[in-house]
Amino acid sequence: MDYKKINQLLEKYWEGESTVQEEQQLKAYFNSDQVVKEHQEYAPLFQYFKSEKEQQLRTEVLEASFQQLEKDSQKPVAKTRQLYTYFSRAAAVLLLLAASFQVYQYQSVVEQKRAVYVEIDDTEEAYLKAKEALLLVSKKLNKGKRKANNNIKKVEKVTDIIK
Amino acid sequence: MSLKDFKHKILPIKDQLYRFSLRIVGNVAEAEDVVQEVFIKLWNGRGEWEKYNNIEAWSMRLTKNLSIDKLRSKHNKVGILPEGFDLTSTAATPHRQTELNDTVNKVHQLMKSLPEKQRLVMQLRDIEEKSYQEIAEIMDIPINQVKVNLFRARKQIREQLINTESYGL
Repeated sequence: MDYKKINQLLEKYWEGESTVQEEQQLKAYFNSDQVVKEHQEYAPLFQYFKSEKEQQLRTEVLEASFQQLEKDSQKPVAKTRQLYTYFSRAAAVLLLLAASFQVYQYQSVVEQKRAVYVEIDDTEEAYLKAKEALLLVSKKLNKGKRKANNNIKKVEKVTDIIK
Repeated sequence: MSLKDFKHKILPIKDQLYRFSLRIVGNVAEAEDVVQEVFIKLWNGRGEWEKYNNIEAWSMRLTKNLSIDKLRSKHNKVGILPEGFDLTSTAATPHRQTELNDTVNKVHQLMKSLPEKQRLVMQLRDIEEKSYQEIAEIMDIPINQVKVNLFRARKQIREQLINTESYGL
């Protein structure tokens, strides 16, 4: 390769304007035995590039990694294991929600029951309240009694017919 | 993707992954560890890079990140290392060391003195022959940053080479 052309390529190289192909030409030139004296100072750089590219991963290392991958891929796929953990997490959350809902409901029922329990200090008022409550109870009882009477009458009618 | 297909995709890039890691972590055993870790991560995460069909840039970036992690954890443990342990030695094997002549070794030292980003960009370009676009993806920096770093690195190396030549350093 001629001297002028190499100078041009070098100039582009230092400016950061050379293409990969042009840089390959430079490497080829500087690793040949045709390097002219004026270019000698740059030769080690391009020789370094070439020698660095010759380093390779040891075959044993590559083989060991592939064997490891082979062993790993024969185990059940990691994805199913992941799915299991997701499901169990979801189940745990649901369980927790259900349990806390139950507890909440139970507590509100207890509180409702408590709300009926009232203490009254004034005897007059207590008497009225009690009376009111008893009236309510007797009203309910009478209602029940009436219904029961009706039903008994029905039963009697039926027994009359059977007779 | 079968393991066989995966091996097929790995084979053309395995050496460049190894070299890239070696230039960051600085010794063979750790670079080998990193590459093995990269293979495992690539295989386990194959769904992701298969979508973009760019295993090369993906795995180079992964290699960079894992290597930097390795380097950091090593520097944290630096106190327990035996004295005289050369942390930044990039010498691959004694065998290779003797193969390289003195001047090439000097270049090696000059490269080591560059700031990391400049050095990695220059190595990706001048040794691995990557395009600016690829380097930008691997290094996770914009293209103009790639150009600036490359320009500065080459300029620095050139000045040092001329100095070495004229003063015989």
